[in-house]
Amino acid sequence: MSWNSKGHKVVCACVGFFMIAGLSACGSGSNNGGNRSAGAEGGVTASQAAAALKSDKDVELTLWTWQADSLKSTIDAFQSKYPHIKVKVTATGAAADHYTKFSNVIKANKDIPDMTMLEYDYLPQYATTKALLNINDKSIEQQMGSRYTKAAWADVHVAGGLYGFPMDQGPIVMYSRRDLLDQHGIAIPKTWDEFEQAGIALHKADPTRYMGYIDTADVRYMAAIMRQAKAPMWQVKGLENVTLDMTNKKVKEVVDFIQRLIDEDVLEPVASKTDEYNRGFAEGRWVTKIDGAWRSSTYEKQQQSMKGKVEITLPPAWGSSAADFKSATIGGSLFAVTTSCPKDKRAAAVAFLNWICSDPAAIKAGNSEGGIRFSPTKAYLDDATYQNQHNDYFNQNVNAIYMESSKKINTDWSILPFNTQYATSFKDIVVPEMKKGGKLASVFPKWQESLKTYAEGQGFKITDKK
Amino acid sequence: MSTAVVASDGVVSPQAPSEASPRKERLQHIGMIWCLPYVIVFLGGTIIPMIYAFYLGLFKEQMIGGERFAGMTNFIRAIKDPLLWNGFNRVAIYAIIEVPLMTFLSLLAALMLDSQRIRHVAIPRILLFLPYAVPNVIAALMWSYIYGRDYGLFGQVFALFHAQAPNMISKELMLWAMINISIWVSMGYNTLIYYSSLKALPEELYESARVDGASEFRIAWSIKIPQIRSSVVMTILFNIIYSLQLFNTPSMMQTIAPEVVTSYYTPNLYTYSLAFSGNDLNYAAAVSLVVGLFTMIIISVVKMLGNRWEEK
Repeated sequence: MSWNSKGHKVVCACVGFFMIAGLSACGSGSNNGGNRSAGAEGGVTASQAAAALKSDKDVELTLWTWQADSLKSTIDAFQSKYPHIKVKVTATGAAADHYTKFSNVIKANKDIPDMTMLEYDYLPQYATTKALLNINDKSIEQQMGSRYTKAAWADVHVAGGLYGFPMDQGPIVMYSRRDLLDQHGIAIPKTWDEFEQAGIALHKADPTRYMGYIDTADVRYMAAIMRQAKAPMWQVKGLENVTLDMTNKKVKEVVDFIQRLIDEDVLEPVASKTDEYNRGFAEGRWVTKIDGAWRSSTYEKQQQSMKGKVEITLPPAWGSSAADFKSATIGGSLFAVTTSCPKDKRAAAVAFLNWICSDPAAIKAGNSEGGIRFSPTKAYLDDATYQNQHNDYFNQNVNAIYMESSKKINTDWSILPFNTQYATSFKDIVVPEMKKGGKLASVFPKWQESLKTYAEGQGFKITDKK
Repeated sequence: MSTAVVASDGVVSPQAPSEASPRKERLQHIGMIWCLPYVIVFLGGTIIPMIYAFYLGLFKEQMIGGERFAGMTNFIRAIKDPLLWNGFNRVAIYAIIEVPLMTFLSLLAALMLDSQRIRHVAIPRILLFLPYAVPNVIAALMWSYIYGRDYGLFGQVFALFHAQAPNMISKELMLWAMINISIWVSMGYNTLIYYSSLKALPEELYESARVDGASEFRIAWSIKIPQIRSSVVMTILFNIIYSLQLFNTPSMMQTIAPEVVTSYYTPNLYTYSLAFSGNDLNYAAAVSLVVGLFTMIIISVVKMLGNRWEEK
């Protein structure tokens, strides 16, 4: 019996040991979390960044991206010029997985990369939670900021803080199946009213086709129409003040119009990124597609059979003529330094990111081999080579259209600092009504209420207009 | 302790039989060490994460305002959360349909394999088991293609008869679509468990029944099934746990039918959404503990009923 009780003691001791180990692990985790949020200022100047490029001191930086393939040539160009700054790239999979993984390491406060790629929609959220380094500095604002367009430079700011460098911008354009429209003698519509008429005529002539679709898996496509129609659903002031205004007359007008287009079989509600969608898309089930400029690369890489059949134009204007056209963005990415990047590496990180986003050699690397990277930099937009570049796949000068769309982006728009919850609640609350005979406008008050409850629980100051 | 006795048999020296009784106590001590690998994995994989989840659940971290101690607030909120109960409700309906159906079909298949009426029994046996080799996520992805109304196998078959296929991923049919996937994947596994239990039964048990002219059905009902009761209870428990913890299939279905599969479609999917899109890890931890507790209660009740049936 004595042995038996000793055995018990061994087990108990083990249990005790692991419990303590487990608890102390938790304890140390939250302590580090506290440190992270304390030091948010970058403390890097433009001259320090320039010195980091010239220095011969070896620095190793880690970078997370979901576009490791298309960035490779750009990063290689940097490495051959500045071999002392070694950049270790981690491919994170699809964009959606990227944010899950990034949020996860931030929460765990372990294995956080020095730099990460982000879409603009996700910037305020990570800036608010102090995962990203505020690199705001007068010299950086002046010397580096001047290389980008004003709008793009504003997009990497949150509440006066500077959180990254704009890589590419996603001004929306419309991709139309010219061949299918020609079959039915339909011209590419220039306003949403024309779009509606064209859609009714098309579906009547061929009930297997729709003028377009509205994505039920991604809120950005509906939001882009709102932005185009100058119907912002909220205003964000600073880091924590949000006014939710999702049920006003203007928003309701747009929502009712979308519902009408669905009811008239002009727009079909469809979840993208599915097999059914991909096959339907290849067959031209939806004759037009409104998406960010970056989508053209996907066409070139994945839809060779459509070569010469797709025409890019500006999306329909919200108003009575093409002159009323206002644009929006879908997607587009930036690069940010994280707060976990050690102090002695920050200058190199800033220099590297600014280089891959704005150096002419980097832009050239990103726009070779059939890829189009719409860079919101002066080096790209003011360069006659890019301005007049003919694209073989679309058989037209596509850059001219991207540039025009980019100039007309409606700037009266802000990004919610709780973007992931906004995207999830869109699917939970709005999408079930996004169907033929649905009552889309009727769920917007509920949507606003749900966001308000969530945001207040997260410490935001919410004003809600009814 | 049985492992200790067996394992230390080799240590027993045949020349010293008189040392038998002190050695016996020594063996038990070694047993503790033999158990250690399991104890470590059990602690590291189950107990410590549970304690950690409880610890996380005691705090509240806001995007603005940082972290603070919240006591039991998160747990109370979880118990009152209508979205969590909505998810529970759904997996309960799922379990009520799936578990009996799975048990019935697997038993039927196992009894057929065991009936000795099938000539090359190895072939249907391996075919039945084959889908189990497909990971659940892949199975869900595959079926999401098959269910497609326009381009999927379903749509194509119905199109042959000039009919429109039913929308398997609609609000009404989604649960059935998921039950179908689950049965497709796991039926072979359950069948294998029943079949091996049936194989272990001594043939004399039902030989006399056969001589007396009892039908195969009668033998199955009165002799075979009662004899493998413990296997049946075990698989039912596994299937209930699986149903309550449903995650992979709805998570896959969410991409093809976001209008049906909400972020709180099942309790586990809700936990995942809270942590990763809601940025609320602490509340997610509390919810997952409530889910675990609820599962344990249901399992204990079912286990008690199962024991009663086994003791009959």
